[in-house]
Amino acid sequence: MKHTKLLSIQGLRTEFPTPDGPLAAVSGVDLEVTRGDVLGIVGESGSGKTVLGLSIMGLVDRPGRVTAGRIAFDGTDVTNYSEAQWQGLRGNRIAMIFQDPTTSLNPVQRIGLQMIEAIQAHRDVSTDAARQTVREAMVRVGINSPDERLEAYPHQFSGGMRQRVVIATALLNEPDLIIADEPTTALDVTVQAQILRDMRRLCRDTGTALIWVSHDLGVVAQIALRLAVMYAGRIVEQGVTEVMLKSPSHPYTAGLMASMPANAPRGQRLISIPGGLPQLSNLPKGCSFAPRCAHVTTACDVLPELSPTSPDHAVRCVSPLQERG
Amino acid sequence: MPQVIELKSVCRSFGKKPDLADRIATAFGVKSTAKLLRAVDGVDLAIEQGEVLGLVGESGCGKSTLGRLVAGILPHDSGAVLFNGKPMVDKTSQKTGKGLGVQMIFQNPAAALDPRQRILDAITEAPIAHGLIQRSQARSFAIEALDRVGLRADALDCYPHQFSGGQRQRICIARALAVNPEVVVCDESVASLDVSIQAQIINLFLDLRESLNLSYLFISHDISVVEHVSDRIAVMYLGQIVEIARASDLLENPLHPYTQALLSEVPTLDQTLSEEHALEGELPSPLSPPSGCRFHPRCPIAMEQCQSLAPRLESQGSGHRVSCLAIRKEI
Amino acid sequence: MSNLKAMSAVRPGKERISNTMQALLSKPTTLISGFLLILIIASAVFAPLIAPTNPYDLSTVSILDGRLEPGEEMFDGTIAWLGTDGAGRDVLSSILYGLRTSLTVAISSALVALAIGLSVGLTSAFYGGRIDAFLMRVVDIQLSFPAILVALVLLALLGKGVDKVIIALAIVQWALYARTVRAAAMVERRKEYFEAATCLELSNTRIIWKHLLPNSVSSLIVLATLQTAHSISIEATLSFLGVGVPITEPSLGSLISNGFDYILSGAYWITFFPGIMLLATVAAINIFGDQLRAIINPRLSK
Repeated sequence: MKHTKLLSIQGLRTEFPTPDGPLAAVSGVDLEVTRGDVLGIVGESGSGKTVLGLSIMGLVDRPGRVTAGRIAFDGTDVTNYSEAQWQGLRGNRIAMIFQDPTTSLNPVQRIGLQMIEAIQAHRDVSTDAARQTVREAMVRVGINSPDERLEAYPHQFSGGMRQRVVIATALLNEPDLIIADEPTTALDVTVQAQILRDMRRLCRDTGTALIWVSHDLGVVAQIALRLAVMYAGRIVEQGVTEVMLKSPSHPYTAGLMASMPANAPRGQRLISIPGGLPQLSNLPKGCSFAPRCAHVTTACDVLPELSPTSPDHAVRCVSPLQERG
Repeated sequence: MPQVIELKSVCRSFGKKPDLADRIATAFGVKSTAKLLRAVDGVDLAIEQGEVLGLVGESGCGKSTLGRLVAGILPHDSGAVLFNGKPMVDKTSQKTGKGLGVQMIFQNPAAALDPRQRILDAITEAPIAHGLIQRSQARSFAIEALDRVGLRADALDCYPHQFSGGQRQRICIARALAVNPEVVVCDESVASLDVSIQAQIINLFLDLRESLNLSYLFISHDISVVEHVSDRIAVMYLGQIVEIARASDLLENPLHPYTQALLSEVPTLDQTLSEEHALEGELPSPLSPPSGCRFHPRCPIAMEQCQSLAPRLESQGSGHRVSCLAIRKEI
Repeated sequence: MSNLKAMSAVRPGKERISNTMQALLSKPTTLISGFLLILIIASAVFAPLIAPTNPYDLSTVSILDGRLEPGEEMFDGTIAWLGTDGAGRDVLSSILYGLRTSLTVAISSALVALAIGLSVGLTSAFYGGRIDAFLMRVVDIQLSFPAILVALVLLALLGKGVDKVIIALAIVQWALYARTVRAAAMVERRKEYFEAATCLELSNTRIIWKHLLPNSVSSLIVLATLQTAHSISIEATLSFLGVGVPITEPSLGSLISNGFDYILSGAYWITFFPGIMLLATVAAINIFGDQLRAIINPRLSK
């Protein structure tokens, strides 16, 4: 039976032990992804966006671990999955794409072989059938003449090509969900644009859900239908991308947008968010953004809940921007 | 406006010249001739006093190499690099004092600071070594330097690892300014910073330019940042400048097909990437650039001559120069 | 405005030292080998104070005490816990004095080799190009010869004496230090702070000694420790062969050599105990050095 909610996360908390006590990299996160949905997760350093992606896949590096909350994938509770159970899911129904394609590919193995292995790990098909699937996948991501490419080693490809190979590999077993963590950050603008287009088209054509994690609002805006902004391990705003970008409710989201040079008149000072990024070991009581917020009041001493302002929109702020007169 | 930096037909290549063993091997057909990477190939550029010249390009275009040539930390192979009209003293040949006029801010602030050096020493080392200040004045000098970049005096006795990325970059800027340069080369100086911190550092650059009358060479792959801070922008492709113009001119009226593609491919909040691919193919390897116009294999308006004839930068009026045969034909 | 992390302003080097100390104290292997090492070094340093006799004071040595078994009493009443050798010297005392010589030679030669290797390695990494190529070829050639062979040749040329042995061992070892330092220095040289120093027109000398050196030495600490063990072995071998330290300042190697003739006649202890001491010393240094390396360079230990 297919659940409409492909991924359902409630109250997720991932902690890392430190000499001064456990540090919550992700705290109180609720998320939902439906089939074919494209969700963007935006945040800067320390926001917890990468750890969130890893937590969903059960890839958090020990000694860090998920300490609270529930992750349900297609109706099944995977929160406490064993490594063996995860291996059945990863690369099969959930795939992950990382920032650096160089480390995702085995440098001493030919591309074709790696991709065929990825198929045969989860399906019982002949090598020839697998090779055919691989060829089709390569063409789909824009790698023409796949036969030559199959015999090549990763180092013989450019960065953009390698990332395409990684994406093709992710798509091989027709996953229901792809989690992409800064997949284009290390690539040039023109290559990034090509990959953004290709991912958009692919997800539309195959109905694969996509979670795109990035620090770059501009990039995420190109592909995500819904957006979640993270700060200091929590989601501070989430909703429909278009709506959020036109009228952001959380001061951090607004500040982030104002910080982008593209949004400011040329040559003038940017409206920057004062202060430094949050230190997870030293978070203030109450709202984590309060020390940097221009609209801070005494009510901000209490940590606000992520409360919905409309069916599709939620903000974690006692006086969101859009509510003021 | 006087030109504080001038580059004339500057070239810089990397790679080994074939030695005796290589030549013998080639003669026997065993090994192909050693490849030379022409990182900067015949660049003419000038930075006017007080201006911010932006330099954009993708990876492998040679902009970082060009930055280092301007800063004097890499010697050029041919051509001339002039600082205030006089040949730039190459810093690697150890002539001290005269070359301090051009300083550089690097991409990775963590790696740009000696991890074992206190901030006080990092900032005052060069001024003391060059006799700009006395050792007794070091602390007060350093406090002023830090204040200029918005850091408190208690940072002086700390070490780099105690600071965040943005703070480290401020320290690097303080260190560079401590020797009173006239030109600052910023090589991807904000690329490794988070967006909100990036904005603070960009503001700092703009403020310092006002207060200290600095000239900048601002290198970045991020066009939106370059657009924001620059007076003029130069676009680089595979070791050559393909277009240079006043920033507003370049943005409103980009002439070179590469510039057009670059500008349209930038993902911004208000512009959806069109479904059309503006640019086909991958960046060619800088080791074997295409013949003639280097952009011709990917160019939507390439003509026959573009394969064999290399275009030169030619003026299209009001300081807008483009290196393209097809454009020249149209105008 | 500034958001300093709430850490004390401790020099990065010092902080790492205290971290290293903590890590060292946490594993039993390290504790035991470390303790053993301290014991050995202390014994060597305080040899004149703790040895029951001075075996090289000819006035106290008597041939009548020769070849006493371990535990027997000597002529003047002191008990030879580990027996005596052919000439009547107490083996235990000989071991302690011998250890002293061995350790002095090993540590001195390691320090000299380190000084030479450091200079060569830093110069090589800093200047690169032809200088680097030339120096590294010299290093390669040096390292392609077996250490003992080189030492033998050198000692044949230099003659006998503790200082000659130190020189010979230093010459044998410097190449490895040079290569290690060069590797670490080349990594540092690629970093931007190096370019920044060039941009600020600091002199080459300053850059090498103030910036390159401090950041390249951590790899040397482990090497120096392990090389010390290696030198002890080489020196022991040389002394065993009779070309090492002179008879008046015997080391563990010559003690072993001395006792060699007596093995078959039953006085095993003359060779055996110095041998055990040599083994224990080298093992302790090696194990400790290995633990040190695992801590300083955690990736290798995985």
